[in-house]
Amino acid sequence: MTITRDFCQALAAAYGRPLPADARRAGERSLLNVAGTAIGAARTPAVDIAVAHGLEFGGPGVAPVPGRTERLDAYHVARTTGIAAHLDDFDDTHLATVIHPGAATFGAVLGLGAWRGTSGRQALRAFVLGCEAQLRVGDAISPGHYDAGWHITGTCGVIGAAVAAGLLAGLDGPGLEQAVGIAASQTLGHREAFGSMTKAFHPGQAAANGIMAALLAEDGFTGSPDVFTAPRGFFAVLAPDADTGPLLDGFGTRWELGDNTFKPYPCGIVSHPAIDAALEVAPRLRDAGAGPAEITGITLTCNPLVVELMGRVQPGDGLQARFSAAHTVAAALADGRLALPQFADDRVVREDVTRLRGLIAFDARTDVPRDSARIRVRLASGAELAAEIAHARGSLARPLTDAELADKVRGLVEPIAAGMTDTVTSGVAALHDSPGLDGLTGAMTPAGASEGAA
Amino acid sequence: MTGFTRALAEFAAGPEPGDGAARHAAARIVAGAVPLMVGASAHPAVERVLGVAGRFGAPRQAGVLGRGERLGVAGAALVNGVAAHVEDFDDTHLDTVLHPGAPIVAAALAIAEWTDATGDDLIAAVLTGTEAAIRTGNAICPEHFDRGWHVTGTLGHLGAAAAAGRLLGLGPDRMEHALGLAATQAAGLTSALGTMTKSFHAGKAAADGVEAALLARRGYTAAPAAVEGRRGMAALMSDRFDPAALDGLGDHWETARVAFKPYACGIVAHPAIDAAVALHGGDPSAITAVDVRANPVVEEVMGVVTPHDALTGKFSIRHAVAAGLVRGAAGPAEFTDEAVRDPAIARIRGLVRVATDAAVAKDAGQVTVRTADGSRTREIAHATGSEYRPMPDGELRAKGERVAGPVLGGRTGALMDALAALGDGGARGRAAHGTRHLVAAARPAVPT
Repeated sequence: MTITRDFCQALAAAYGRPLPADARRAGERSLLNVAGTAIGAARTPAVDIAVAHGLEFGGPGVAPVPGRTERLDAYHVARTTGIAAHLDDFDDTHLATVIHPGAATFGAVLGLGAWRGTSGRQALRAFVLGCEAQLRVGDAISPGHYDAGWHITGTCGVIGAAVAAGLLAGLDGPGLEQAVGIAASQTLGHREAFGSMTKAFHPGQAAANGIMAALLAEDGFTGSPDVFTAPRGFFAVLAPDADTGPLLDGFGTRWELGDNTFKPYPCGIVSHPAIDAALEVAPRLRDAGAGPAEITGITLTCNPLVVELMGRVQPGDGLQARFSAAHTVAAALADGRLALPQFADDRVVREDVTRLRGLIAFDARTDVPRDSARIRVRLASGAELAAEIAHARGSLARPLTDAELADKVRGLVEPIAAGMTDTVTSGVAALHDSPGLDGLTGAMTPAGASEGAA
Repeated sequence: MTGFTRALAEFAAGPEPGDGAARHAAARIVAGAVPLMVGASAHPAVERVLGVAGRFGAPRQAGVLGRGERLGVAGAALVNGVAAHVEDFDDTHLDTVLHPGAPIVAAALAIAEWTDATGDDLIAAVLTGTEAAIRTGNAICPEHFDRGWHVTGTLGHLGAAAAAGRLLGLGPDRMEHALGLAATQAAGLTSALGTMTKSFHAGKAAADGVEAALLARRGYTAAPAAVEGRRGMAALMSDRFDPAALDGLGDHWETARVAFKPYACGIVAHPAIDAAVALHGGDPSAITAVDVRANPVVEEVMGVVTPHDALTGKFSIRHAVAAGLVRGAAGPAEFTDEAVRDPAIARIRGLVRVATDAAVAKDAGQVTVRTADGSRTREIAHATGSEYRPMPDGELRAKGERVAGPVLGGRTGALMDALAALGDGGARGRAAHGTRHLVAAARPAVPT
C-alpha cells in the first residue's frame, strides 16, 4: 500500500457511509455560500465568455449555469461554474491553506452529477469529500506551496474535483488513485494570474479537468501510481517540503471542511475586522447627528498584514478597491454597509470615499491578531467614536451565523434574480433528500428569461 | 524593454514567419506528426481518450486522424495529440527534450480544419508555435525538466496556444492573453512516464492551447507577464530563467533543429541503439556481456531494468540495446509485449551494463559487446536523426509510410503526397491544398 492508495481507499469508504452531522452541516453551508457566489457573478464578462464558448464548442447541455438559463455540457458547466464561484473572491476560504475549496468541487459535482443523474445524497457526499480531500492535500503542502507562487485553489482544486467526480462515477479506491494520478498531471494555477480573469479560471478549469480525470480512470486509463509521494510526482515537483501526515490524520472524525469560513465582505479577508469595526461606528455617526462629511480623522489599529496585503490607499477601480483596506473602511463608514455595490467602479472613485480614504492612519502592530482590529473616528465637533473587534465576523472564532450567511446569499442572488434567494436556500437544504440535482439546479435558474447567450 | 511573454505574443501574431528553410522544417514537423496520429489511432490509450472526449457530444468540428470520428476542436486536438505521442516515436528538440509535433500540430490541425485554413497557414502556425515553445524551453531548461516537469506537456501548452491563436488571427494583445492562459495551465509530471498519462500530457496541451486561444479571442484576460513574472511560469517551474533565449527570434530558427526518430523509444537511447544495430550479426547466444556508455539523461529517462510489457520496454535502455543487438532493428515491432517477452532479447537485456558519463554528449554513445572470443565496440558521435545527421526527407516519408500504412493501406501514398505538397508549398509560396484536403487524406477508406 502507498499513501495515495490509502488516501483514496479512505475517501471511497467514506463515500459509502452517511455523512456525520457536523460534516453535513459544513458541506451544506459551504454549498450554499458557493451557490450564492456563482449566481452573483452570473452576469460578469468572464462568465459571459465561458458560457458563449460552451454553447459554441460544447455538446448538449446537462444543466444550466447557476444564475443563468443556458445549459452546457458537463465539462463546460463545470468550468463555467467554477469560474463564476471564485470570480469575485467572495467564496469560501479555508484559512490555514487559503484554499477556496467550494468552487472547483461544486463545478465538478454539478457537471457530472447532473449528467449522471446522481441522487442529492451522493452529490452532497461527493461535494464534502471532494472539499475534504482538497483541504487535506493543501494541509500537506502548506505553507511552502502557496508561498512559492502557486494558486493553491487551482492546484489542489483539480485533485478535489477529480475525487468528487470519481466518487460520483463510482470508482473504488484503486480507481480513485488512477483518477488522482491523471488529475495531478493537469494541475494549474500561477499566482501571477491574480488581477486577471485567469485567477478564477483556475478553479473552473480544475473542475473540468477533474471530470476528465475521473471519466478516463473509469475507462481504464492509467495515471501515475502513488502520485503524491512518487519521485517526480505531485509533492516532489510542486511542494518539496510536503508532509504527508495531514492527508489521513483523524480522517473521518475531524473535518477540515468544518474550518471552512465564509466571507461577509467581497474583498481581501485581512481587512474584515477593520470593516466590522467601521460598520459598528457607522450607525453611531448618525446617532451623533453627524454624517461622514464630519469625519476629520480615522485611526485603524490592525495587524501588519492589513497594510502589507491591502495597503493601497487610493484604488482606481473596483478590482483594486477589493485590495484596499482604506477603501473598505471608508465605504463602510460612508454607506453603513459593505457589499458588491461598494466595489462598483464608479462608487470607488467618488469624492466622499476618496476623502475618507485619505484621512486613514494605519497603526499596524504585530500584537494585534489577524482577526482583530480597533478603529477611532474623530469628528469636526471634537467627539471621537471608537470600536474594537476581538474576532471578525466570518473568522474561525466567530463564524457567520446561518442568518448572516443567508443575508450574504441574498445580497448576491437578488440583483441577478429578484425573489430567488429563498428558493436557492431551500434548494440547498433539500438536496440531501432529493432524488437528483434537478431541484437544486432549478432553484438556481432565474425564471422567465429566454435561453441564449447574454 | 518588451517583456518575454509580450515578445512571444508579438512574434506569434506577427507577419509571415520564416524563410523557405524554416518553413520546410515546420512542414517536416507536420509530415512527421500526421502519420503517427494515423498509425496510433487504434491504440488503447487513444481509444479511451476518444471515448471520453466523444461522450460530451460536442459539434463535429474537426476529425480524428486515421478514423472516421469527428469531435469538437478541443476534443480532436486532445485525441490527435495523444496519438502522435503515444508510441514515443515523435520528433524531439534535443536541448529541451520537447516533442513539439504532438501538441502543436494537433492543436493547429484542429483549428486549421475548422477554419478551412490553407496549408501555408498551417505551416506558419506550426512554425511560430514550435519556435515559441522551444525558445521558452531554452530559457528554463534543463532545470525545468530536472524539477520533474514533462516539457511536452508544459511547453506544449504555449506552443499549441500560439499556433491556434495565429490561425484564429489573434492580434498581439489577445495572443498575449492566450499565452497567459496557456502558461498557467502548463502541466505534466514525469512520474507519469510509463503510464497512459504521459501521452495525455501532449493531447491536453493541444486541447488547452486551442481553448486558450478561443477564449482569448472572445476577450478572456490573463496575466501580462505570465512566463517571466515574479510568480509566473519560469519562476515557479524552473530554477533558471534566461530571457536571452529570445535573441534572434524570427531570424534564427530553433525549429530547424528538431530531430526525427528512427527508433520507437526515447530519443536519448538512440546513439546506443545505432551502435547496437551496427553490432547486430553473429550469434546473440554467444554474448556474455554488453557495456553501454551514455549521457546520464539516459538512465534518468530510460532506467527501467526489467521491463514487463511494451510500455515499460520503451523506458528501458537495456531492452532497446538488446533488441537492436538481437534483431538489428528498434522500430515499433521491437517495443511490443511480444518483443519485451522474447527470451533471446530478455537474456541479452540482463547482460547490459550502463555506465553514464556527463562528458558523453546526448547524441553520442558507445556499445561494447563481449563474447568468449573477445569484444567489439561501436562508438557513435552523432545519432541517426540527430541535428548533425538529420533524417533525409525521403527517410521521413518512408517512416511515415511504415507507421500509417497499417491503417490507411492503399491510401497511404495519397496522404504522403498531401504532406509533401504541404512542404513544397512552403518553398513555392501559396500552397494549393487546404488543410481539409490533408485531413480527408488521413481518413481510412471506410469510415468507422
